[in-house]
Amino acid sequence: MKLAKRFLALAAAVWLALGAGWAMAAATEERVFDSANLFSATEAKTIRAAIADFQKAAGMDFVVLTSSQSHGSTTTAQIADDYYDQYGFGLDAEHSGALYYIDMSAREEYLSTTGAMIDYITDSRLESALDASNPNLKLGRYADAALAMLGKVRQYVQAGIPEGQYRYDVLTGQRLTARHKALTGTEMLVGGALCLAVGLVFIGVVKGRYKLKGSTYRYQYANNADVQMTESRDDYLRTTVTRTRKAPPPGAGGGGRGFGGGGGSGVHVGGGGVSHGGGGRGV
Amino acid sequence: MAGVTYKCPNCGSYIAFNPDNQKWKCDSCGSVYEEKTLLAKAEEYQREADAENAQMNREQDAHNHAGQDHAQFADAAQQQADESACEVENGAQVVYHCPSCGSEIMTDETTVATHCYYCHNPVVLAGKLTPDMRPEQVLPFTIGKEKAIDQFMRWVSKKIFVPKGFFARDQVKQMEGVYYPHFVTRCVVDGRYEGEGLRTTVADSGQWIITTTEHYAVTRRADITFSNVMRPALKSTDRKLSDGIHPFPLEAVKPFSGAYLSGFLAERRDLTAEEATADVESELSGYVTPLLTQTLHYTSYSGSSSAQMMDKQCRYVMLPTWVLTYQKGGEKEPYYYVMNGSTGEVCGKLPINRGKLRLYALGLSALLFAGYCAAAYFLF
Repeated sequence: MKLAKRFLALAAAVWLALGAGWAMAAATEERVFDSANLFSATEAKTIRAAIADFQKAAGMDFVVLTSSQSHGSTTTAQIADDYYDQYGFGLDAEHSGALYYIDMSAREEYLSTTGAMIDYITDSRLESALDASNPNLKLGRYADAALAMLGKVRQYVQAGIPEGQYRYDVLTGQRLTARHKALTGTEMLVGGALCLAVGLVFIGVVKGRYKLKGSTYRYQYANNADVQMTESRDDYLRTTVTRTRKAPPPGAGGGGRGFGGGGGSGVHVGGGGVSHGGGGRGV
Repeated sequence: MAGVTYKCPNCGSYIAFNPDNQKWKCDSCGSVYEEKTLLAKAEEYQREADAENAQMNREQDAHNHAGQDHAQFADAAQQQADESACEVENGAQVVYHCPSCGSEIMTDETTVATHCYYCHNPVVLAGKLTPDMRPEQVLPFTIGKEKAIDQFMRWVSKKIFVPKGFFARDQVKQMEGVYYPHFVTRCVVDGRYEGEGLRTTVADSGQWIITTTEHYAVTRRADITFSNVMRPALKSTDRKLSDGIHPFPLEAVKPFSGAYLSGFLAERRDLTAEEATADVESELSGYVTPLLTQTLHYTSYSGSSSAQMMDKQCRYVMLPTWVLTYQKGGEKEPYYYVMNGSTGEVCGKLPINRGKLRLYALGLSALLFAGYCAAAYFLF
């Protein structure tokens, strides 16, 4: 009950912050919600085209939301997550996708990820995506910021889930999924080449043995030799001492969020009980 | 010179050495003879052959004297008559008379035991074994023909890349038992090794790793006796094949007797001990370092060795070998195989089913790749 109450309160806040008019928009194909009027008509069109292109390529959704209204104690994360959930974005059953939110009132940008997108956008990838969009916001180039973010997300989706990726709870730090295991193309290629080389060596060895390549002579000298030692001397010459400094123990340093591996995707649960990933940065 | 056929004292039929029971058996009347009976007979034959050789040498000397006087009148027709009347050594081919049926047998210069082409009786050409060409020892066959065929078929059946059905037992039956001449050498070498030995200890003291190395000047010297170094005594020997069936159980050698050759083929040597064993010293010097450094107990060592031959004794020994020339229809070259007549070890080039080999190689690669992917996926 408590949770439901909280959710209702939050929904009401979002409703107020973004205006009831948008509610209808989600049902359509619209993915750019520029209530802060940051984009020109041409810019909005470009973003829409880029999103349509991304949807086709990735099978996941992307939404751009801007707002200049103040929202009290509700965080940008909550607004972004709930907006995505409430209007049912996403193209698959998991509602996989991301919402890029530019909050002019809090002067923050935020990327909320849902479903499979959580795994593609790890914390470290998110940081570099924000590195791409943030400078644009500082210069007031909002459309460029949205496009830069979309470009980065698209790039990461194409690169696939990084090896060793896992989800963890941002509040408790608890790991939620096992590390993602993957073989990269290069690893497959090198491994395949090595295995083929072993196959070729096998052919060579069999051919060599069947065709009597190499000498067949073998004299068991150890069994056929009788050694009568006539002189055996070991004369001490000198002693040398060398000192080398030990290498520092491995594992020192590192860091990053979550488990320190850098492959984590921080996950929190939104008001509607849906898990989201993501993060933001002030402008 | 004349050939000798060992005859059964009971029925007069020929008898041959039987590897299975190490006795001589008459196929006609079934009599079996012990070693001592036949060896005495063999000595008698050899004495006769030696006497005949001596007689022939005397006649040859007389003929040579006459030849010197009348060389210019030598009559070609007379020469031809001589050749057909007795055994004539003509280049590499030598003609003999079969003691059983009287037919002419043509053999190589080095052949000392064979079969008559006509009556198939075994013939030992004792006259070829003049004292300087007589082996000191012989290792009798212990694997008979049937066993040898079985052994060969077993050997090829284990080779999975040999095309199926390539070897037919009927054709493998053509394998022949041949005694090949070898020199078995015993050498005493004065070997010396000089170098530096290092004894290293590593200590861990907090931030530092301390390596202490003690250096020693090392000298080892020994009289090393190498036994049973084998070299073929026949120029035409294929070393790859003959080396591939060593070693022979030389502890079982017997004093030479022509009787062991009866029923088999045999070749006499055409190399001297010096020629055949010329490379032995360089081979043995290569074993000095590993033998002398066995007694070094250092973390590591380096150095060099030298070797000097002190004594070298060669024994001229006949060794038993089963030989098979296998010609398969459609193949350009025949395949040659040799088998150790005592141990059954086989050597020879084998045909390969290329498709199967490639398939196995591909399978191996695929298996490795699957293992690699699984390891990369689950372990890292």
